[in-house]
This record gives sequence, C-alpha cells and structure tokens, in this order.
Amino acid sequence: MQTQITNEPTKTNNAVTVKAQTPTYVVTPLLDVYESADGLRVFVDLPGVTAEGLSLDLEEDVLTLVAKREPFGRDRAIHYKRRFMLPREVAQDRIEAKLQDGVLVLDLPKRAESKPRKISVTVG
Amino acid sequence: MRFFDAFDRQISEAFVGRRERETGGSISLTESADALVFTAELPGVARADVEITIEADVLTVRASRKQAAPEGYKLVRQERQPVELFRKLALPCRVDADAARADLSGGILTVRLPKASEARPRRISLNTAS
Repeated sequence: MQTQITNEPTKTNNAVTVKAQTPTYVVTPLLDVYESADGLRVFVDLPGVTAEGLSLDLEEDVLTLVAKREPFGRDRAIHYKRRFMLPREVAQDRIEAKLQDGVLVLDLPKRAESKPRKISVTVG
Repeated sequence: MRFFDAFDRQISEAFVGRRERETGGSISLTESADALVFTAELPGVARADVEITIEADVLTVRASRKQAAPEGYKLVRQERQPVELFRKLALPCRVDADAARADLSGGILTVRLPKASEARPRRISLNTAS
C-alpha cells in the first residue's frame, strides 16, 4: 500500500498554476529497540537519507521522525514517517541521534531515578 | 515494548504490504549512453561485507549486514530484517570492468560500469553525395 503526495494546485493572478508533481511514497521505517540498565538504543533503517533530510521532533512524550530520501536508480522519492511514544523513564534532554551508513541510531538514556538500584542491607 | 506501538498501529495497518519492501532490499540497474549503473539499498552494511565481481557480462554482488546486540544491551523489539543480498545480473552490454567504480555511502551502494567502447552508441554520418 502506498500513499502518494501530490501538491495542491496554487492560484496566482486568476491563473491556476500546478506545481510539478513528483510522486512520493510515504513509508513507515522499521526499527529495532535494545535495552540496557542505562537506557534504550533504537536502530531505524533509513537508507539514502542524509542528516539534512532528517527531522526528529519531540513533543510531550511523542517522538516524530520525518525523513526524505531523494529518488535514486529507478526508485521514487520516499518520505519516511513514524511517530512513537517514549517510555517515561527516558531522560528527554539527553537523547542523542546519529546517522551511520543509512541507519539512524537513537540513544535514549534513562533518568537516574528510574535505573534499577540495588539496596544493600546493613546489619545493625 | 508497547511504547513504540502506541502511535503506529493505525498507521502501520495501512502499510502492511510495504513492510517487506522496506528492509533494504531495493535494487536497480539503469542504463545511460555511456554506462550501466547498479544501485542497492544496504543500510548498516559495512564496506568489508560487500563483494562485487564482474566476469564477462555478469555482475555479481554479495552483501550482508551484521546485526548483533550492542554490548550490554538486550533486544526488546525487532522489526528490521537481516540484509542479505546475492545477485547475479546478466548485463545488457559489454562493460569496461577496469574502469568500474563502486561507492557505499548512506546505506546506498552504487556501482558504475562504463560501457565498453564497442557498446557505446555511435553516430554514423552519411556520405556526402558525390
């Protein structure tokens, strides 16, 4: 299933101008999530996406990823879009993102107070 | 990890048919007047894990992705599929294998194969009437 984005015709001086229509696929990128005691690491496959074409927005607990891949070979342009809710334990101010070989790596550290803690028992 | 599901459920239902396609499997071979260009989506594949050979008119490309849990982490959700590419393509014309160039960047492999001189289009001019 593919969704095509087409530009709306825009009106200028009574003349109707139709912008160039480049068909684009909207695609949900696939991701893996790993967890350690300190945080989560998320890998998202985004082949052909450059840092300039990628945006990550965090609002409340919802992370929105939008990325554009230019057409290559016989493939059309792709708009990758995905929204997901972050666990509350994530320290939102320390999220790090990097793009490596067409894979987005998100580091989501856990807040200190939500890390598992061992409570030692002292004999009194 | 229900958190990563929350917003996607409505969206992903519409894209079920696309999932397979989006695992980095897209390849293409295009032709211009002077070259053939092979491209493949290979997200997360290291240079060392790509092997390209040309023998006569056959291009062979092998690539695979090593996908292991980072040290100290355990997998809690897996959607990405292994990237395994093995293709033998019969090229539509002779190429100059010595001048071939391959580049892997941003998860896209591009192999440019200049056509052998005898395979390039040549303009034949008409003899002037005598």
